[in-house]
Amino acid sequence: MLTKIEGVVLRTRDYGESNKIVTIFSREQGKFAAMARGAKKPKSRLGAATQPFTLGFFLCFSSSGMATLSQAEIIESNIHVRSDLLHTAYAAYWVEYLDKLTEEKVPAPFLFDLLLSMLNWLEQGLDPEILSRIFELKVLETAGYRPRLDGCVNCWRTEGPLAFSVSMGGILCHHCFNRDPQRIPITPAAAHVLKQLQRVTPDRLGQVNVKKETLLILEQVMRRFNDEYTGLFLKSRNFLDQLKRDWGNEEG
Amino acid sequence: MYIPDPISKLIDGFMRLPGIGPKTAQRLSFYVLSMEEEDVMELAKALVRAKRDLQRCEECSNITDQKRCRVCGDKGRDRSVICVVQDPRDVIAMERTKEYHGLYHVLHGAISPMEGIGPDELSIPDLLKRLEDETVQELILATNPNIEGEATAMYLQRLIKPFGIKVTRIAHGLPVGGDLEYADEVTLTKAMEGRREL
Repeated sequence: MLTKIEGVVLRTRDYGESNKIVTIFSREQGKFAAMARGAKKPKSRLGAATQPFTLGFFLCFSSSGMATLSQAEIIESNIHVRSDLLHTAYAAYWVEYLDKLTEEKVPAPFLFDLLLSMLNWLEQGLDPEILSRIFELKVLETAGYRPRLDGCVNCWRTEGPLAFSVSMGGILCHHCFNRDPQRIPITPAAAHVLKQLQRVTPDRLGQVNVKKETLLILEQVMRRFNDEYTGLFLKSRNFLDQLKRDWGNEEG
Repeated sequence: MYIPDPISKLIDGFMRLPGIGPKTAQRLSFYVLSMEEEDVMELAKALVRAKRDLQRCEECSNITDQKRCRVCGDKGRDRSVICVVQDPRDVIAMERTKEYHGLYHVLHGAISPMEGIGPDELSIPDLLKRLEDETVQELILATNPNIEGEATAMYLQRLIKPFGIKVTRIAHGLPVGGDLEYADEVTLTKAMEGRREL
């Protein structure tokens, strides 16, 4: 059966001499793999359309096994994301994160629109660190992990010095600090930004200015939360860390 | 099913090769049995020699059976230009053009944000050492026009900037014999960007 599907290429893997197995993320079918025959040949029409982060219409022939890609038409190549190494590294992190936290062939309209918005915002120059935190919070929520950020996870209070408890899954007020010796101290600004990022819808996001120290706290909190609940080992995150370390020092 | 041990081991050996499944491995193994002993010995020796005798060229990191590869040892080559490629097979492809007379540098891979392959896993330090030699005037980045190749080119371009050497990227565009009507938007955009005056 031939189906035309709008989707974003998450990743590709070489197969044989000139074929590629392409993982596409779509609104209707979620994540699925398709064989792009001859996509590595210079004259193939599938070569450009099967580059990661490309949004396109994919005409797939599917029977019982893996679908075969027969035609592809690019809607948005996201070439500007791929023309900047740091942006490529952030987008690679997002697609791997999405890939690892979603099931195959489960419709995912919200996550599909979220990914499109993220790539769009990245191209428009929004801070990729903030975008990454939003993306993590939203994807985690659909996977069933939602940290409680609107009040203390133990007593609901919101005043005073705050901390984040990974094991309890949310903000801790100073009255409840003794509940978790491993808590991460966070500033009121970081707690506020985190709460806002959890609430914001991707289509409403505007220019967000957050101090570097706050960004570092947010990153630490989300990293520990991710490690605790998802247990994912992401190759792209290691690469991003290395790039931020090398290039961040150069720029700093 | 009874399979004599030597054949079983041979099948296992073939199955370690890429794209070879159990059925193909079995077919190849039985074909080897039907070959002349002399031919089998030649094949076995060639496999061992390829593994034992080949090493990386001390200058360009290409594979060679000597300390320096044939290209680096050739005094007629233009030593002011270095073409950076991902793989030894890319050197063979470039040499087939007979149009390039400079030197090469083989990275043995490409930076891959998706696979977490960083610059530390490539032969970049050897390249930087070569650039200290003042005879080098131009570096041609001939990595593949895909996400990994572009990432590698961007990384190298930024790394090499302080050396003050001219860094160029191979052109992207329409393949010879191709049809404009069937070209995709990205390729056409790149072709337009890289147009030149006649």
